[in-house]
Amino acid sequence: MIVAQRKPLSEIITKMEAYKKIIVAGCETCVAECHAGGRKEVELLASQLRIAFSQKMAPVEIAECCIERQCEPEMIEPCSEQIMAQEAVLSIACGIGVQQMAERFPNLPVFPGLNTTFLGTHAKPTQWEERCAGCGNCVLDLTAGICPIARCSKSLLNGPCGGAQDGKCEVSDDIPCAWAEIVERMTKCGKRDQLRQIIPCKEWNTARDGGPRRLIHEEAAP
Amino acid sequence: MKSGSRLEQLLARGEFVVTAELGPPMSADVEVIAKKAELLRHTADAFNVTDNQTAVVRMSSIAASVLCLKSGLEPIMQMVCRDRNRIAMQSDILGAVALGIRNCLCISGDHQSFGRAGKLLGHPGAKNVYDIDSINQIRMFRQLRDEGKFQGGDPVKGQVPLFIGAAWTPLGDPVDFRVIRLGKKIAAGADFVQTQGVYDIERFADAMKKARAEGLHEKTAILAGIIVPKSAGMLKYMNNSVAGVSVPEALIRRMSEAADQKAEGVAIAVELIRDIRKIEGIRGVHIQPVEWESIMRTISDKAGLLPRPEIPDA
Amino acid sequence: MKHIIVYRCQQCGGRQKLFKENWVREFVLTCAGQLEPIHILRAFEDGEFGVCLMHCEPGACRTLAGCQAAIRHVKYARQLLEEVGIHPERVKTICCQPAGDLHMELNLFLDHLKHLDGHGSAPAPDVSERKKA
Repeated sequence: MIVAQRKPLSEIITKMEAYKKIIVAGCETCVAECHAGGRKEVELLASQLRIAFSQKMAPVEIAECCIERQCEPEMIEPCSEQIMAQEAVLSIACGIGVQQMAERFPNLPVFPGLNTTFLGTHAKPTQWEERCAGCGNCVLDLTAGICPIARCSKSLLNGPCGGAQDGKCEVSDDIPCAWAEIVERMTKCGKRDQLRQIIPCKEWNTARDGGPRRLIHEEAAP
Repeated sequence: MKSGSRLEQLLARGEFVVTAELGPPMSADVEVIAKKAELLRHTADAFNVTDNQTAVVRMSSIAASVLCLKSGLEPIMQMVCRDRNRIAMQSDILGAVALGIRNCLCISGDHQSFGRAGKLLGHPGAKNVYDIDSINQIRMFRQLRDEGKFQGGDPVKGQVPLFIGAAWTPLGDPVDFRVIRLGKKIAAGADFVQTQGVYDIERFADAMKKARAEGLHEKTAILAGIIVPKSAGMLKYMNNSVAGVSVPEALIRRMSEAADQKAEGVAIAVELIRDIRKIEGIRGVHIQPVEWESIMRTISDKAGLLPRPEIPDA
Repeated sequence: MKHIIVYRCQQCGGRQKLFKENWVREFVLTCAGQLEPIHILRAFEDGEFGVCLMHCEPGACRTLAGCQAAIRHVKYARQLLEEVGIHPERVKTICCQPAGDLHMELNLFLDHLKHLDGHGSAPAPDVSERKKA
């Protein structure tokens, strides 16, 4: 899933101050899962904004809506009448949802209320962790299902580097050394000797480095 | 000869080689290099020129290496994977060779977050390059030199004489994988290897035993790293915070109890060199007097490493 | 008129309303865990004085985890309120006590809220006419 985090409230307030009719638009999928932009978060943020703007004696109407998946144009439609009646949209979906809103409502200023961060998983209670870098050429079978591109700070294909200490990355104690974990899991499966093979250079043209990507699926035509 | 460098020639002759380090300045000041060169001249056979070490911007390794050459020192240009993609790396190697550089040490490089430390702001927001890792970097340079081909497959005209180096952290985490990784670097084409600083002779000897069991000491020249300690505080710091450096308690105690810690540091370094020479498979030492270039001559002298051997002009 | 909004778990004083004061608006809950952060924020949107949650002893909760959930919800609500300049001490939690003590605690809370007012930590102006488009 896509993981995002709400922007600092002060940043949101500064950006939205100029408008008198704002709608907070959430998304019920990924950002709801990580408690950043779902229905509850829409209600709470709208409430905070009402309190904040009333303190400034600024009469602002804050509306609320929540879209099942803000990245799907058809799903935005049911809320479109409500949205078009506003002066500005504060989208607390991921960056994709924000862009869909901007595309659907080109005459309305659309503001991102979240910072979209990574593709990850709910690794443990209260904690989401990055798992996938979207490199476009998945070779997870070579590294016991642990992605060195996303989970090694240096994206090494033949790690670990000399910076690992006590199973942690040199960048931070919060980051496990991905290669220590790969070596451990490969060893447990009796496959450690496979790591003697040099994994050749990554070709980054399938990743974002090759330019923005697209996928065409003729079979998916309506 | 792969490169004809002094380092390569001495190793080929079976000499016990000595390398040292020269850190470029955080400026464009050529005088700094010239002064360090004076302190280091004839104390070692070749000198590592670091590449934006700890992600702090310094004069480039290639430029500083050329200045070393001008001062009569043989450089070992270091090139990290953090800042350059494969295009820039190959380009810089062609340039380096064109300017007379013959040795290159291939390393991953500290993450850019390291640049923000102490009083320095660094550039923690810099884009993370790491296009290829050090093992693929070694392989790429070997391909340039031995097959006359760029990494992408295009041919290279002419020779690219280069003596390729790698780093080894024998006591790094996870310890039992480190010899395997050394093997990969050698298979990729590492002609020589410099280790992280050794203080625990016993544990290092054990790692060397494992390396010898795989015949690695014969496929490459392993040079043991010696970091010259200045104080007990420095030893404690390295033991706790520098990955792969393990300092025995007894050594820390010895340093704490010394009347003159700097003199003790010199003595410790000299003893480490003496003990490491006894380990089978060690072909030299890489001495690092951190922020203390002036002590290099004393160390080389006391360790019986002077004078350095001559290379007759061809 | 500004009120203290009281949310009281029924384990803590029974199902009948306990507070007759005109500055109290009391809601009796089956379990304190039913109180969501949004309920707390709404009280301040409406310009109320403060919110008080009366909950049972953590080990005594009949829904086992409800009390813990309540405490978490209050903590979260306090963070959100602080972001908009509402002092976190305007939300109070009181663990179950005999009724007489609850009255006393509530009065102490009222005094504290007046103290916060007096020291420049005013609650939001009354926005009970808030509109939802």
